[in-house]
Amino acid sequence: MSESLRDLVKRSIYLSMINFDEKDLENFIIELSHLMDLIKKLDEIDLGEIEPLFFIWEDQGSLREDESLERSEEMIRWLEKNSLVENRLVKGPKTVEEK
Amino acid sequence: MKKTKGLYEVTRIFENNPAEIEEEVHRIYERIERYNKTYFAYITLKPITIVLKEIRSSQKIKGSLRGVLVAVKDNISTKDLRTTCASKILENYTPPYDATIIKRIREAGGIIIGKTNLDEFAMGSTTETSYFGVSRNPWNPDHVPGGSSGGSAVAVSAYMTHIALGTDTGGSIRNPASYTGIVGYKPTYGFVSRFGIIAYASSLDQAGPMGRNTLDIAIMMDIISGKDPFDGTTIDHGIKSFIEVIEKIDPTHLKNKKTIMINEMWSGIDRDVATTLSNYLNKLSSEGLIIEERSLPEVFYALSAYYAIATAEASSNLARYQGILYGLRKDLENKHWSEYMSAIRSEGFGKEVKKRIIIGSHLLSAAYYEQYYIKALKLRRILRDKIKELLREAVAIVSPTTPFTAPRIGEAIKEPYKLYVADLETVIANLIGGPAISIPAGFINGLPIGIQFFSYQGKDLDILSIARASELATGLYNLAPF
Repeated sequence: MSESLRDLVKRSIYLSMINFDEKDLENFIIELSHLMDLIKKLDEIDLGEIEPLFFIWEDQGSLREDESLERSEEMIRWLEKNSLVENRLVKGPKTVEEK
Repeated sequence: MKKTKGLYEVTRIFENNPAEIEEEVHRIYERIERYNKTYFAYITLKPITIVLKEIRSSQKIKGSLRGVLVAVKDNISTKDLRTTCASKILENYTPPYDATIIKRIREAGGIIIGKTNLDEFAMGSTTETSYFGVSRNPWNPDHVPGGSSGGSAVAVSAYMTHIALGTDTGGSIRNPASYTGIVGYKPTYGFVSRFGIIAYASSLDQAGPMGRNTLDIAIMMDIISGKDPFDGTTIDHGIKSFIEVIEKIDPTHLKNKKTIMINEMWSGIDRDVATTLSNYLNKLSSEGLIIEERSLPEVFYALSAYYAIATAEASSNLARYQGILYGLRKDLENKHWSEYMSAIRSEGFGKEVKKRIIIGSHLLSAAYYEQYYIKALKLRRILRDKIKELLREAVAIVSPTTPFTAPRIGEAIKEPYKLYVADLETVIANLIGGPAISIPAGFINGLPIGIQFFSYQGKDLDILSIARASELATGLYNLAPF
């Protein structure tokens, strides 16, 4: 595997917020390449200026009003029940600031 | 061939004799007790005492699912049962609300019996990527039941429930239906609400029923489909009743109906599968079904486009699992926040999920966004438009559901390419957003194999009708492995 591809994969791993030790990384890169090879088949075709299709129902679908729902209260109660809230603020896990 | 009752018959028995409901619950729990250890359909099972209590308290409900037990894939939110996505990261997560489809089932008198096994976050086609272990095929426990909705398929096939729900992003309902001899239906994208369904790839995901025959599917579609204000991608399909249409279908429906075989979808499948399906189609032809061959070379790139879109959307959807609001959480002192999140994600996700998140992040990076992700979306438009054209004078495209029968346990996971090509036949319906069904079409060395009918978006009644007529013509429905 070329060093540049290895660096590229390491960069994607970093962006994905996932850790690997060097030994596992080598095997993982090989496994990643199976799936990536499959996707790279798209290099064989040129689709020019065709408009990409993000969603199937292009002319339908609707957005509801962006308003606060009772569900938010439900959520707070659920968080309280699971000891994840204190004074209506979500409690984070115990960590320390970066040195 | 051994046969069993379908949901349609069960609901009529319950209607005429409500006392039968509790006896049936006991019978099904006895089967679960006997078979779940071996076949592992359920990750979480509701205790029978609670189920009986729910049945007694729902006696006044006059809904069409009164007394019906429903198994639910464990990526669909249920407020009374944990929803794990078969992942360590959500091992102890119980949602604070029900998915819309669960709410509708409960309102119709259905009882949620338990949560079924799946590939972690629905990524896989064998259940082997589940954190909780692999499910086994009721027709032969040395083989997988398929996936990702493998647990739901096992529960239906081994009569450990009346009906089940699955989700289908690239074939996750139809693949296990094919491997376990049941019917699996992916409705048109937007027909069924995704609110409360834990997202894998939002533009492809769709929930649907898994049952023993097509009538069972139609009953469930009447309950779970329709517009939902909580899911802006749902549409008003305008179908008054699925079951009223489907229960009137008989084998004469096949006469002079035209279907299309896309040649590229029939190349590269196992020879035994080709022979079995060709015998099946000969039987349908003798009933008057017309089958015409066509070529669509773009099909060769469908799997690549599917994995580009699915992984890109997955990397975004799974970014929310970072150990703060819900899921796996630890006190990791002396860690910076970013280190904390990376540590939780590294411990909580399995290998296949990590692989897809990383590839998705890679494809969405500035250098590759146009090259792969956008190109995949362009191909999606071409496929949709060309298939619409093919279906101008035909009711459905017919293809294998899977290129082979259920692999042996361990076979596909050791050879990842086999895991991906299992989706070859099914991803097209997801890419074009159309309805697709897998129904049993025969057996090869004792293992079932399915055949698939699919169409353009909104043509759900066409697909269910042709499936119903086909199962009646061949007698291959309500199959029981033991």
